[in-house]
Amino acid sequence: MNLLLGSLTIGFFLSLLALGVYLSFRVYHFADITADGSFPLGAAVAGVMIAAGIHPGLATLSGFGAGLAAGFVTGTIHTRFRVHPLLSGILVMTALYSINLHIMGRSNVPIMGSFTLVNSAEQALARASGRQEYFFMGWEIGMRDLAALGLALALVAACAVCLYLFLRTSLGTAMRATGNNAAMVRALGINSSAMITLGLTVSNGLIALSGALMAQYQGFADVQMGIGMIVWGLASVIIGEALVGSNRLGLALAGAVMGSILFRLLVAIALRWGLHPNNLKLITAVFVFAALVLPLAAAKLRKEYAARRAPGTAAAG
Amino acid sequence: MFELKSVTKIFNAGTQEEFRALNGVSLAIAEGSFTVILGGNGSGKSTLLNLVAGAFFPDSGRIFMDGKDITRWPEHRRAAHIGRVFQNPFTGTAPDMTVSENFALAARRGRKLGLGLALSRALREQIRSRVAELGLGLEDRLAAQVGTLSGGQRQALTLLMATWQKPRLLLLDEHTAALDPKSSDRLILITRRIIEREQLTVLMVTHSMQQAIRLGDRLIMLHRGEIASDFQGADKRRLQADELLGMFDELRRDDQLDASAAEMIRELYV
Repeated sequence: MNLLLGSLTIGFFLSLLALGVYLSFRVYHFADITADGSFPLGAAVAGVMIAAGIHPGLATLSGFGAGLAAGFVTGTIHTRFRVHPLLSGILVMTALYSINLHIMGRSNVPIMGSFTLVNSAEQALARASGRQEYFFMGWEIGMRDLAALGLALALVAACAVCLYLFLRTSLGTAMRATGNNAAMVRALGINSSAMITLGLTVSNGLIALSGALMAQYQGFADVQMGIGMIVWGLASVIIGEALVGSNRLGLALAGAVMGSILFRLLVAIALRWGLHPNNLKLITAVFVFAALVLPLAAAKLRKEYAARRAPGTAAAG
Repeated sequence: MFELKSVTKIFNAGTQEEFRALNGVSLAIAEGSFTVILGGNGSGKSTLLNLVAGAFFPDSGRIFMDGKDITRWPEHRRAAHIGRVFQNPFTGTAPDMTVSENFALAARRGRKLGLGLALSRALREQIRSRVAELGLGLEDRLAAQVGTLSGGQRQALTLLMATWQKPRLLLLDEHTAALDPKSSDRLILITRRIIEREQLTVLMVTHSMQQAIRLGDRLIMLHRGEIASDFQGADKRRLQADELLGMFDELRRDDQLDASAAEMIRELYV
């Protein structure tokens, strides 16, 4: 049960990463490797501030702000200096490794006992309910786990709704159109370079926010915690799309969140069933491949089935 | 009022592929005029249009809009005043967004993008009525993704988007070239209707002799990056298709002979 709860909670915190990756990858067709650097950047900034005793709300927001800056740099390198999208992300990600080390002063900052959002949520819940644990269907659930899940749920819901509304404003619509057809957008008087940079800025802000929250959940910020995060994000988005089957905005965002949670659950279950941790990345690749291929295969099977049931009335091809 | 002064554009300067697309072209476009530019391949007509639109900058010369020097203005800055329909039906609209969303952007051309809702109810109503005027039945498909529409439908939408707010200049870049004859005719009808109703200033590039004759009050023939002939008003109205064809052929024949042979033939026979 704790495994389930833990996976759900992490899945929710990481769904902010998935939302950020959705923005850069699906809206702008930009595989933004900056994520591997901005995720620990958010964690580093928030972690250092929390360790210094600063309010975790402010620390988390600062982590978000640092992510915005990182995304802005990637966007500027790409639009202003015409560097290839992948390279732009790699450049910033590489630089951020050193920057994160500078921010933390060392490779790891522990904040387990500090005043963090997760700890406050845990204390608030304990005070409100007056208990130490809950029982659910015979399983014992710690206060911390429940509080963390509640916090994650609330924050992700708020961010997802904000993102959805933002993408429906004039500015957000212009951003989406830029990723779809930059030539048209320019012909309508919109600065496509600025739109791309803005999109990458917001995307990395979300990713850094995810990192800041994860650091508070796991109790430390580590310079290595970003490695492979872009892959988690992409996997979540792709699995989410396979789940939802639509590319309409609201559903796609919900899909990214669900994809993150499902993916985390699948990995947790695989580990529980004895998957050797060494094989984790291999399983990740297999899951993503399945998520990419299964929807196509399913559609093809459906068409063949329909054709066999009513030969001559099914559309060709 | 747009003006080009001695505009030159050279591609791949200094290399083996160097190509002088436009050679010191000067052109003044009067307010409310409808100028058609005709020319063969490599005549410079598309280059001329792209220079006015701002897709790239001239190597020498200047471009003016109402007296302002816009030579170095980037494309999106000019687009606030210039509406454009591309040759490629896929370039003018965003395929993964709905018809309404495309218009939501067109309606804000030239204005700052804010955090207000892109599609208010009032705007949706406006979109519905103006799209209905096209007469293509697209007002029933406002929630459809543009990518599901045909090329002719997309071009009609692009035209409406380019003229949603009256532009100071409408650029038509062979906008029917990629369409089948029926869609092409229908689009030309819609084009004429909109231009006449809004009293637009138009610069249209075409390779179609028919369109060149039937449309506009000014015809410019481009050849090898220079203006070969310029017919205005009554002169243009008098132009017949076979006359135009003759002129066109003559220019092309010149191309097939080298300069000295062409000169010799002209001296002998003209």
